[in-house]
Amino acid sequence: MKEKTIKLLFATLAVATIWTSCKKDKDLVTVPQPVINESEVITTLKLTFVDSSNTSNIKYATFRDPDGDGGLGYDIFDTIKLEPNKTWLTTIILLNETVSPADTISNEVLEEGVDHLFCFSPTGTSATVTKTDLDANALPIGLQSKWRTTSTGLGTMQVELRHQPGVKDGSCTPGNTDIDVVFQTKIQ
Amino acid sequence: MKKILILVTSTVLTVAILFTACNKTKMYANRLDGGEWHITELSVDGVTEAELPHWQIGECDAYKESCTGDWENHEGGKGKFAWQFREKGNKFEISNQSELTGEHKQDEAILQCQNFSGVYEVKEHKKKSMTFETSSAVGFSGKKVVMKIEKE
Repeated sequence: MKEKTIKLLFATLAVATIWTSCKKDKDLVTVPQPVINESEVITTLKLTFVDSSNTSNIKYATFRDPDGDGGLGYDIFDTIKLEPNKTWLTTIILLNETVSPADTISNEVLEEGVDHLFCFSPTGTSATVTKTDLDANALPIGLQSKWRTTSTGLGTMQVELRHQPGVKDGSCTPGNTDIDVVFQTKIQ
Repeated sequence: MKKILILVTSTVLTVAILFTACNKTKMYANRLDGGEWHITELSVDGVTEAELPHWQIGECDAYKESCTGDWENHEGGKGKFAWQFREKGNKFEISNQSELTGEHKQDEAILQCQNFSGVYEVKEHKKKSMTFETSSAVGFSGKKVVMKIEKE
């Protein structure tokens, strides 16, 4: 009887000790939600194409979403129209038109070239793109490029700006997307 | 008397084992806090990040306050993050707490910290090295992120 009482006492003590000492997750201070910083607001992507064989032959294509990504949709979304069998010297201008005067985001992209990369993905079009500008690490940026067109046809060209702080390696894989536009592309 | 001694010893041992097991959260947190840790592996879907930052972790009691640390890159940029072990030390959370400053080196550290914020599985936990994995980091949703840290 005495031994049973002692056993019971120790068992009770053990349970009590664990119960009181073992803190639960609900006792932890809640971790604050992460602060999510928006990437640069880009409302407008303007492409300017200069015919390398005739610099007065200039084409333009613009995408504009006045309030940036989300919210209302675009109000300008041009089709890229280029002539075949030419080389086009292409420049990209990015704007934030939610502020007045508009902020030229492409200047910041150039300043932070080591963190940015444009990626061009043609589908069903003969246009091929070669980036011609380089950042401080001799990796391409893509604000300046050459577009070579050959045969006529209708397809698309995806223009994507990747933000790659500290991880840029020349490929499109690392980082996040700042802007991604798929233009209808007509070579005629 | 001998029986009682055995009983006491086994009870103490049982309590100690259970106590240690149920306090892994605190034990892991105690190992992490108050030191400098280097991220020696940081990969997304097997692709290693170019910038491997280091952490400065202050002393902290996760039951009394939100624990924080500094996420520092090699350029001297710094972001602040909250961290916590839970679920008996099986989970580890990182949560960016800094807003962008407009200064390049700072923002690089902050954006990296933001992208790697999330709840990680604790895969390895030693006194001077820990490995975490997740597929739900803020900047890499659906991709396997592996992070290994080692103490100075």
